[in-house]
Formats: sequence, C-alpha cells, structure tokens
Amino acid sequence: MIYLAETERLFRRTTAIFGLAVAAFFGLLGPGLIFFGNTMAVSFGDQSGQPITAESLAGWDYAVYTSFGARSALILPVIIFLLGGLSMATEFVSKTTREDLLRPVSRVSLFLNKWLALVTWVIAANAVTLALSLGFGFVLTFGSEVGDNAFVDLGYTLLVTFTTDLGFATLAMFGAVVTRSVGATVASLAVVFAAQVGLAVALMFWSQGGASLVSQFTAVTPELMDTIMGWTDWIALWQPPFVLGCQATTQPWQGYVTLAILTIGSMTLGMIRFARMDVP
Amino acid sequence: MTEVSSAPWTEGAALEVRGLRRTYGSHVAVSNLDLTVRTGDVYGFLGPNGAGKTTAMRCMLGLIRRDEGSVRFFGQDESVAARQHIGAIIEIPAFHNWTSAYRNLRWACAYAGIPMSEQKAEIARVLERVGLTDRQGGKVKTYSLGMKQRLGIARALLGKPKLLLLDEPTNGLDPKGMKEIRELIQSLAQDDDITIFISSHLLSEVQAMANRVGIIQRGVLRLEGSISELTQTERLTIRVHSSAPEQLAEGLKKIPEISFTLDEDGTALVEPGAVEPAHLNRELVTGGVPISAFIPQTATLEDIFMEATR
Repeated sequence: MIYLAETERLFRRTTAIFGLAVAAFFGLLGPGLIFFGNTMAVSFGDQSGQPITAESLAGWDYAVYTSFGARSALILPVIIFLLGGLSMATEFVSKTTREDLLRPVSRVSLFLNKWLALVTWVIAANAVTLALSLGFGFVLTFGSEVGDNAFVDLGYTLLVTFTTDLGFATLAMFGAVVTRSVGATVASLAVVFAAQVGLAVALMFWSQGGASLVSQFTAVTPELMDTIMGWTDWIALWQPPFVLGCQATTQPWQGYVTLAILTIGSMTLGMIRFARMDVP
Repeated sequence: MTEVSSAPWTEGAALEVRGLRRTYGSHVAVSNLDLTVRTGDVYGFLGPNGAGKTTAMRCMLGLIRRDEGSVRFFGQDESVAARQHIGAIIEIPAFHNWTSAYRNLRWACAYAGIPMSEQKAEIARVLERVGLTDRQGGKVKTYSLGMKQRLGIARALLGKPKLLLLDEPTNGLDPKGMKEIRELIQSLAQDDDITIFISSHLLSEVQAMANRVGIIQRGVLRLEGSISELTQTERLTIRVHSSAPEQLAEGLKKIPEISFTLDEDGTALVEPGAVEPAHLNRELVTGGVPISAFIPQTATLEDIFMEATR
C-alpha cells in the first residue's frame, strides 16, 4: 500500500508529468525522422546513385533506436535525475517525510518504496517511448523489413536504457538524502553534467590542438606517457554508460559493472544514511 | 542508547520515558528526562520556549536520535510496531498542500497500515470527528492554520490510536481556533478514551485540559504530578483580613514557623508553612484578633510553573 501511495504521489509531480510528455515526444521523434529520411531518399534517390529498394529504406527498428538514442542524450536523464532527487529532497523540506515517519513504518521500507515508485515511473516513461516509436515506426515505415537481430538489439537497447536510468535515479536519491536540500540536489546535477562537459572538452583538446603537445611530451618521457595512456584507456573502459551523453549501447561490459556498483552502492549508502539520520 | 535512569517502569503506563538525553554539540537539549503518562491521562508537558519540549517529543517518537535513555509506549519499547497505537503532531503539521485533504488522508492511511477496503470509512470517521467533512475535497493550501491543525489531528486519529502526542497544537491560532482545538482535545479524551500528551507553554490551555503535568526547563524535568495535588501542596497561602491591622500583625508574630505580609487595608497574606490553617485561625481568635475573613488559597498552575522555572 505504501508503494501505491508513493507511486501516486510521484506520478502527480509536475516533473513526472512533464517527463512523460517528453518521453512521448521522443517516441514520436524517431519515427518522424526515419519517415522524413525515407521520404527524402525516395524523392531524391540515393546519394551514391543506387536505385532505392524496400530493403535499402530504414525499418521500424531504426525508428525505435533513434527515439531511444535521442531520449538518452540529455533531456530525459536530467528529468530522471531531478525526479529522483526531488522526490526525496522536497519532502524533507516540506516535512512530509517526518509525517510519514510518525506512522508505523520503517525508514528502510519508506526509502525502498520511494525507489520502487521511481522504478515504476522509469518503466512507464520507457514504455511510452517504446509504444509510440514502435507503433508510429511500424506505420510510417510501412512495415519495412528489419535486420535479423532487430529484436535482440531492441531488447538490449531497452535493458541498457532502463538500467542507466535507474543508476541516475538512485544516485539522485542518495544525493538528496545526504544533502536534504532541493538546491543541493539540483547543484549536484549541475556538477555531474559539468564533469561530462569537462571531459568532452578535454577529449576535444586531446583530438585537436593537444595532440601535438602530447606527441612532444611522449617524445620526452615515453614511459610516463605510456602509463598515462594506459590509465586513460582503463578509465574509458570502466566508465559508467551515462558518462558522455548516455551512449549506452556503445559501452563495453565493464561500464555496466561500474553502473551496477554505483547503483547498488548509492542505494545501500542512501538507505543506511536515511535509517540513521535525524528527521526533525 | 543506554538506560541511565534508576526510576522503575510503571505498570499500565501509556508512555514512559527514562533517562532521556539529547545533545547538539556541547548544548544539552534534554537531560536525564524521566516522565510517566498513565493510561487515561491528559498530560500537560509544560515549559518555556526553548525548554526542550519539542526535542524531547521528537526523541520519544524516534524522529531524532537519543544519546541516552529509553522510551516505552504501553509497555513496549519505542519501535515501528509500538507506533501502531500512537498518533502525533509535531509543531505545525505538514501536508502535500497541492492536493486535497482527502488524498492526504488516504496516503496517510497507507502508511498507517489501514486496509484499502477500510480507508474510506476511516477517513470519513476522522474528518467528521474534527468537523472537516465538508472541506475534504479542498486543496490543503486553501486551509487556514486552524483547519490545518484540525486536519493534522484527523490524520493522527487514523487507525484509532490509544495515545495522542500533540506538540503545541494551539500555537499561532486565534482565540476561536484555540477554543475549538481545546474542546476537540477534551472531547477526544473524554468520549474516545484517548490518552493525551500535550506540550505547551500556555498555562491556561493546559490547566483547562490536563489532569497531570510535567514542567521542563533547560532540558531538565523540574516537576511532575497531578494538577490537583500540586496546587494543594505547593505554596498554600492564607488571606486573613482584620478591622484591626495592628492586632493582626501582633497576633501573627506570636505564631512560630509562619511568614506574612500585611497590606494597608488590614489584609495579611500568610504563608503557613507546616502550621495547619485551623490551628492558625484558632491562635488568632483566642488571641483576641478580630477576624473578618480567613481564606485559604491554593497555588495556581502559574505559581507552580513560575516556582519550577525560577
């Protein structure tokens, strides 16, 4: 019953309603883009001059991938982070958490039910995107043929998106329990994305102007440079999938191990902290 | 948490606190607090602002950590299970203001463990009890402070608790709102047989409602007992009037162990100490003092409070 109450509370939040609307938008975006691409191809022909056939047009699977690729890029993860953080932080600030704790309910149970409500929302958001991208994708591509592994790839995409979303949400809940502040929760989101931007800028520097500097540095201290490069490669391998714009499907398995550790770790620490903290 | 108090547990008590201590850094908010609320009591927890009343109540309810001490509800250590029999309001009750009172109560029912099939009837019962049935569909943000307090009491009543802990329930209310809440609390105690623990710094409120009080100051319980006992045993004074003030003064001076002050109009305020009022009266009359009035006066709750928090 607590789960149902928490789920209803969460789904009535403005952020949650907005998030579902955004999920629906991305569900439509993928099929729309694929339809536009196919129409352009049919109208103007292939760039290489090859004739357009039914096999060469993008199928509904591309519509789904495009939807999920776009929704994972930035906006939905931000909304999930906000929803996870604010579902805890705003209730500390409004003191409704205190009111809940006056009832015969354990703190661990309260935390878990809030988390489960969040899981439910993530499932709902992904279901909205999937249903719309699949339905409209099938209609707008006129049931075009898809690759042999389309269903396997689709399942993988969903699984990766779902687990990545949960990682975000759980981290946000942990941050909210530690800070107990709406402002700090939003600020922690800014820090996460600033770190991503910083990493992206660093990579850009690496790939462009920094390359010559690196080559000079390598020439002077080759052994040290090898060590640094080794560490960089290692970190890249183990970084969680939500780093660098949630390019989840391109990550090696090590990234998911990191994600699992982060999710389970922040979940456990969040529960321990919540169980022991003062809630005046 | 350790038990530091040697005070024994009381059979049949609704709430017992033993050796409760809570500090914030070097500041001791509550120190070695012992108190006992018997089943059926309306217990007034009195103290000036900042005395540690709210901190003590938060500790009792497990909202904040206790450094030391034990709390029992109906003989059961403070726990999730023990809270099954308790309703509480700490400071101003908090709600999801953006939605209706009914929905707030429905969510509270879920936390109180009330089955879905019984929630509607239970919500109707508590809303009727506090007189908010007509406003149950309104958003809580449109409620006045008095209505929020009543809604808070309604929420605390969900699940038919045997003990209500109310922290300054009339704080911030206008006289009409205070009267409504006071009457509601009295009715809950008398008609619903709910034991009530109410903290306040408003003596008149507590005197009107409570049968027992505990007075706390700077985190330490200064006094505990029934109001009738305390007002009879604490600081009994006797107002004596005579048409012959000089004779009255001479007569009083002859009686050992008493102290008195004499007004210009011939009224003496006597503190008899261990001397019985009847003996005092007899001594004055047999001494030939013309007595026109002899009025024993018991201490008021205010006298007791001022004495305890001096």
